[in-house]
Amino acid sequence: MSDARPGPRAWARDVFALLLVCAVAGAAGFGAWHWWAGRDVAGTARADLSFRDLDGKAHALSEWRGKLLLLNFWATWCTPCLKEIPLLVEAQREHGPRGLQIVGVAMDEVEPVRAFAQRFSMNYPLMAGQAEIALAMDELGDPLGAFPFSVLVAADGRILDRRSGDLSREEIAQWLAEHLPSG
Amino acid sequence: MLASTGAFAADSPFGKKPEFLPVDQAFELQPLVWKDDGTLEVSWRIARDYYLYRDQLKFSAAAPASLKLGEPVLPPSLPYEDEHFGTTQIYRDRLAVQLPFTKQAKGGVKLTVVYQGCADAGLCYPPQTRTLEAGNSDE
Repeated sequence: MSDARPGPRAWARDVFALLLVCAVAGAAGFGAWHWWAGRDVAGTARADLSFRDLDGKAHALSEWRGKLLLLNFWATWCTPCLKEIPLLVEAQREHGPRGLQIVGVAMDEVEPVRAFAQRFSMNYPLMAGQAEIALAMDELGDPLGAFPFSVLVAADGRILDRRSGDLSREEIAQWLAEHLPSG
Repeated sequence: MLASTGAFAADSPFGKKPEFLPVDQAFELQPLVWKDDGTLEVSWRIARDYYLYRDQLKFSAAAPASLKLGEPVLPPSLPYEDEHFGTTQIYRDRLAVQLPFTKQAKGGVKLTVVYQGCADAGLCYPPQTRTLEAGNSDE
């Protein structure tokens, strides 16, 4: 009677096949996680995006090439957005001369944005819009469509980082320490 | 279960940061339910550390055209101190709203619901609009 058990070579082949399946599944899972985490846009350039300021004038992201750009998406009804604005005003005042450029992009009507700009003495350019803002956030890797949402763009236009939720003073300081030239 | 999980810190390609739920998991809208008294119940399961604003809730009849909604019956809400907007009223955990009809429809109905909420960890979702359907109340 012949022995039906698989030989060592068949056993090794099965183990290899199992490991291969696990590796493929793991890679697919990691890829899916990256997609879910807002598509991995780090390192990509998005200079084609543009926004309209409170007077209706269009501004492309490329306008701020050469500076460390912090795009801050916000809305006047969003309390966490209002909480971080004084920190952004402070950062622009202190680090603007070193090359930081904050741009506030509000998904809102122009007049409320104008009123809040005055109330908070906002010292950086402000944009406003509706559906096009949501599309831009999506383009920039926002997985939630919620506010605030901030994106850090390098001087050469590469996306360096992005964050959903209000930024703390420490987080802003860390971004600047990592990406703004010292001196 | 993911829907009951609040904001949490997690590692990502961008470093350690809070992770937030997609809006439909933060505020899980439940199917419409006819109650014995002929009202319709609209309800949400609200994830831990998330809340809905009472004054942002809106309800309207989408179909049939003859359907007329009465005043929604809202449960007691919680006060929320907002440094910019003063004291507002919110709901946490679960919200069930009873919708009476001043003119009852035969057959199914469609309702449009608008709601808006935030996460305690510092994120607000824009107002959400959903249309819900309910079959005949006799079914």
